[in-house]
Amino acid sequence: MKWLWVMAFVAPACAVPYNGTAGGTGDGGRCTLQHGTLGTEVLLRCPATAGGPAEWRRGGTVLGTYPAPGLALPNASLAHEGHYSCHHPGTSETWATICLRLGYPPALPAVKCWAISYPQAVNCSWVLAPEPLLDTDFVATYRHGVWGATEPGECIRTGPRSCSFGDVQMFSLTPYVVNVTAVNPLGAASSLLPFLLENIIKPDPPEDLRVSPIPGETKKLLLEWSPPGSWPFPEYFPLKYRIRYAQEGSVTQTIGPYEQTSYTLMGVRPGTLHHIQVAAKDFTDAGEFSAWSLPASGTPWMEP
Amino acid sequence: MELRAGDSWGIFTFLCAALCNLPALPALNCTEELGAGQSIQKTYDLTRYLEHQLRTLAGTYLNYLGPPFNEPDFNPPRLARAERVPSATVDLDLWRGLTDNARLAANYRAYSRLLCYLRALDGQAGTAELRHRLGHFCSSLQGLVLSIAGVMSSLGYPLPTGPAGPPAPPGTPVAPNDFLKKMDDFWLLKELQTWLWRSAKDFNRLKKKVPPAVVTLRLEARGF
Repeated sequence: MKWLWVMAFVAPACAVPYNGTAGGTGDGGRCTLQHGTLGTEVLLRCPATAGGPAEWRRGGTVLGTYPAPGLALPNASLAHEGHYSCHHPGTSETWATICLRLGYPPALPAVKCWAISYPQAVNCSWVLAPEPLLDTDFVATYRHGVWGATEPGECIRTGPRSCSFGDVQMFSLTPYVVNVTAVNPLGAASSLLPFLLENIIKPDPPEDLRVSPIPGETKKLLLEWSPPGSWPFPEYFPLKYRIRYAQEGSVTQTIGPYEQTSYTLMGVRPGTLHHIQVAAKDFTDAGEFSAWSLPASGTPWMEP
Repeated sequence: MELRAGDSWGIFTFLCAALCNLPALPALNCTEELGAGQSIQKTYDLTRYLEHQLRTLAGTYLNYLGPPFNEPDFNPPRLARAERVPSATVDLDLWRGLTDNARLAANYRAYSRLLCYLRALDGQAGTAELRHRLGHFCSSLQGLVLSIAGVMSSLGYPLPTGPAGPPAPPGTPVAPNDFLKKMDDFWLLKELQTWLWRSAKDFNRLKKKVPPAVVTLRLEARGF
């Protein structure tokens, strides 16, 4: 809930173009912010001219006098960012200071959604490639069904590039659709991601993997682990597990799936260090396997 | 051997006799031990098998319907026609709160209706391959309905009554044109998919709640 308050106060401020303190040589004051796209021809406009020429300076250096509409920077690069000023060509009276920030309009966000804690919530995250370099804000919403039968709900932000929503229905005929819109001063881009909840089930990796020797058994190892803490109802929605193991310097083998949270690995090479990882999946095979757990290692019991 | 009244042997013998009289389960024979636990396991296995079968069937059928039905991102609005099959869609609290009887009855009703609609489809399907696949799927689906009925009997629940016969032709609104008919078929396949997903979870849940009685039966069988 705290997030909503933060967003309510911060969001309006973010929508307003900032004044001046960005691009800090500290000679602040009323600096008009202008944005341009890297790699293109950027036009710096002097707000005060009435269609006439203006003298342009950067720092102390005079760049020249240019006619309307303004100073053109062909093939703008990051070296062009900074403070510029435009002056009356004759009297050198300062008309305006301009802060130039360069970047890219947002690319289409690449959105991914997973039900890590099925069926309680859906977690989505996104990336922008290439990075826009300018401050980019996001609006994330979701709706159930494609055609506006229901009002869009807010996908609650959980981080700068992630959000989550709950109150979802299981076994729905119609997909949920997540809409992520990226907005920055150079433009906006929206992505829609439709999915059925059961198709995006992907638990977090199992936790707390322990590899223990078994007294008296030189060729066995006891593996034990716990279901991921984020899986809310293992008793209603059991998981099954795959095990990946390798002895030091050898090829990995994968076995499973098994429903139990422990397994006795047999036929293990005595006296050798073995590395183990475990992955989880919904027992009825919906969705995907989790990522592999953090590895754990152990050596079978040896005769003292 | 002595048949002691009211004990597991009595139930076992009844169940065996009942199941042997059902026509569409040729694989069972009377000596097979079926405690409720094992019936539930078989029902679960059958839903998983049907789920796999459906993927191939749906692919073939949607290709037969042609575009846009066979396009991967085809997400049409659900038209406000009468809901023919009870929906599998449910929220967590409701699903969790279902009694065993309600859970089983919901599955039984849904698949009985789905089977009827699927059989109607079979009659009109275009190619021989499609008719063959549909026919095979219908047989398996019938097996599922009977399997659920078997579970309900073994747990002492009455089978849900209601419109058991085919709902199609006279009286019920038939799709007015070819496109809408295809839409109905499209949604039928989706309904099958969501019900099979739901059933896997339903029967997995029932497995946990109903301990297998088969152990007691086997011990007694070897005892004499």
